[in-house]
Amino acid sequence: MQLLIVEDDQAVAGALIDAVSAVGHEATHASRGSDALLRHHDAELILLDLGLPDMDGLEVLRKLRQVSDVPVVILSARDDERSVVRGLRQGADDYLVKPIGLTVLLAKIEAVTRRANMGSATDKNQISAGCLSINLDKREAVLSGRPLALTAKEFELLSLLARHAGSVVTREQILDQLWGDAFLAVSRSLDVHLTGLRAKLASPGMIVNVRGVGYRLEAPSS
Amino acid sequence: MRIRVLAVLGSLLLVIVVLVSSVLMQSVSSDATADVQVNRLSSLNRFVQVASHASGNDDLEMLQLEMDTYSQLYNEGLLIVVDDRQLISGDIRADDAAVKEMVGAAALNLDRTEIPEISPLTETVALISRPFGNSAQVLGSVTMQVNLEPARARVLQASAFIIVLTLSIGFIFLLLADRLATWVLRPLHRLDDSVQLLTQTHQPIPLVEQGPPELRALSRSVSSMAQTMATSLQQQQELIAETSHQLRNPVAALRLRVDLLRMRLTDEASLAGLHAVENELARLEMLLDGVLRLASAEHRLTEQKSDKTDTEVAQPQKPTHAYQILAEEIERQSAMAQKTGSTLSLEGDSKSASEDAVWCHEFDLQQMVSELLENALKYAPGTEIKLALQTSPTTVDIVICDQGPGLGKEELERVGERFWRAESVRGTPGTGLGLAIVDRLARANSGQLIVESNGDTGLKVIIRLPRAQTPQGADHEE
Repeated sequence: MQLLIVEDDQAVAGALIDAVSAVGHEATHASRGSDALLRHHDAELILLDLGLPDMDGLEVLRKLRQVSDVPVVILSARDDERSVVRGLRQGADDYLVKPIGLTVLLAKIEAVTRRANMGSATDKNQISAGCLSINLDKREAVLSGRPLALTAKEFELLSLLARHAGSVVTREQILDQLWGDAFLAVSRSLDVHLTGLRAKLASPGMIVNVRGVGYRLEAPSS
Repeated sequence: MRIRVLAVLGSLLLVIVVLVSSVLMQSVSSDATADVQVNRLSSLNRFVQVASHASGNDDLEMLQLEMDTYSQLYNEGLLIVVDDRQLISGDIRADDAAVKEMVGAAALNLDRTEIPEISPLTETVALISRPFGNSAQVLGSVTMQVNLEPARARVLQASAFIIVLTLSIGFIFLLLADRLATWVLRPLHRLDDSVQLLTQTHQPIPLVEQGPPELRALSRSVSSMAQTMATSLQQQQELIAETSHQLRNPVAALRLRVDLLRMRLTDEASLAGLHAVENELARLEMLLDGVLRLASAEHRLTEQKSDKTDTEVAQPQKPTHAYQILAEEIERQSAMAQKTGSTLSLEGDSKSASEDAVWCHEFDLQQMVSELLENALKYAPGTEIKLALQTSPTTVDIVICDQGPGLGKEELERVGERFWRAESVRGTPGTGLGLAIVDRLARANSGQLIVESNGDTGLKVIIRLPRAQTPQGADHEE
């Protein structure tokens, strides 16, 4: 896979290139935001640093999103609430904070790529994430061979999260998809449905709350 | 200082009041005395004249009649000695020692016409006498018992008036002195308040320049000192934050390189060595992370204290529901809890929504609860960790109890210090920053962190936050 690494720190960029090359990806490096905007065409995934010398990474992301749907994973030293929220809201597929382990990084890259390619998948009525599989036609959800007895809202919620498994679905997106109103005043009902869904899944940590943004479904592997 | 200034000024004013009033009273009483003296002396002279020309019984009877009239009119006694006869009218007694002495003196041709100075408190009668006769011998005398009561009353009245007047003038001056002292001291008080505020908040405060020029200069100096101090503190904080931030890049590179190395290495010995490197790297990452979070927590704290109305740091506009956040954080930590064999339980249910609303930044609350849960899981593994909400009319307590080894009394006092870790847990990885971070964040949200013993065993950590009253029905289920 062709990756574009946008990173101004040479040492980190070098390590990243070596790391992704080790698992068979090809990587090119841009150290400036303007370079990144010129060279994103070949990339299948962009690893974006926020602290760039010429412009802010969030600005790069915003401009990039106007022309391209290429998956973007932010890898930044910033971990304040605002950067994370803005990064994810502006269309980043994931937000990772430095330092990060190689296995986690590769897993995230994989998850984001998989999801990005899912749009072209043949069977749109079948969603699977790890050992969770959902059939939208039959409205069936099966976790590790165990069928889940879900209410209508819970099923919709799980499908939405599973379709974006591994990356964050914002609260607004959920409210918009399930209730048709992204700025629903009674957003606490989402919490209620979520609690019910979690109880039925009975796998702690499967649906992760991303502070200030929304929720992410971690594809269960077992 | 004000009391002292007033005491000094007050005693000075008292001395002045006493001096002025005594001088005034003196002059009033001598005026009154002179008045009485002139008045009585003319009466005395008339009687002397009448008595000296009296001859024969008819004249004496006329004299007696006149004396009686006088005595009745003025309520004063008269004793006239003429031709060895004593004519008496009014309330005077010839056998009185003082009267005898006066008559005796008059017989010796001694004029006693001085009336003693009238003071408001002296006796109410005075005796005056004047002899008469020809150049060769004393033929008689007139002794008058002067009734000083009306004069004394007048003097007393005047004195009282003088005392009241001088006292009130003195009081007015004292009030003026008080105002003056306040004017001088107000800038000092304000300065004191400001400096105290400064020590609490570490934020410079603009001082209003008021009062005497010296104090204005002092205000300016203190302002600039506070500014310098705050700037240096801020720089220090920024340096810490910036440094740890800058360290993230090299550490990130290092982490990736080490992980790559692990993938490529095959022989046992190198892997063992690499394992040690990884451990140290993990420690470094944890420390770095902790320092950064602490720096940002302290930043929030100073922002809260400085009361900036910046939209980003202002108090949250809407209340945060603590129950939901506790549930979220338990969910987040549940995988870890399964690993350590701990159980996480939350008392109550989400229906008590109106009672769990707190004024706290949602993100801060999540971070605090997560920090405390991580601590509980790390230091009290395999035990039951209970979370509960306790509401009082003004506060909401988030209580997290564990059944772990807990902390000793002395150790409890040191909780919240940066980089402090209990003796017993030095073996487990950790930074000693967790509770410090929670402490700063709680205070940044006008709350507090309370750490105490949970009965015989375990630790009880409480985050006390200001309670938010939510209007009924505003946030109900659809």
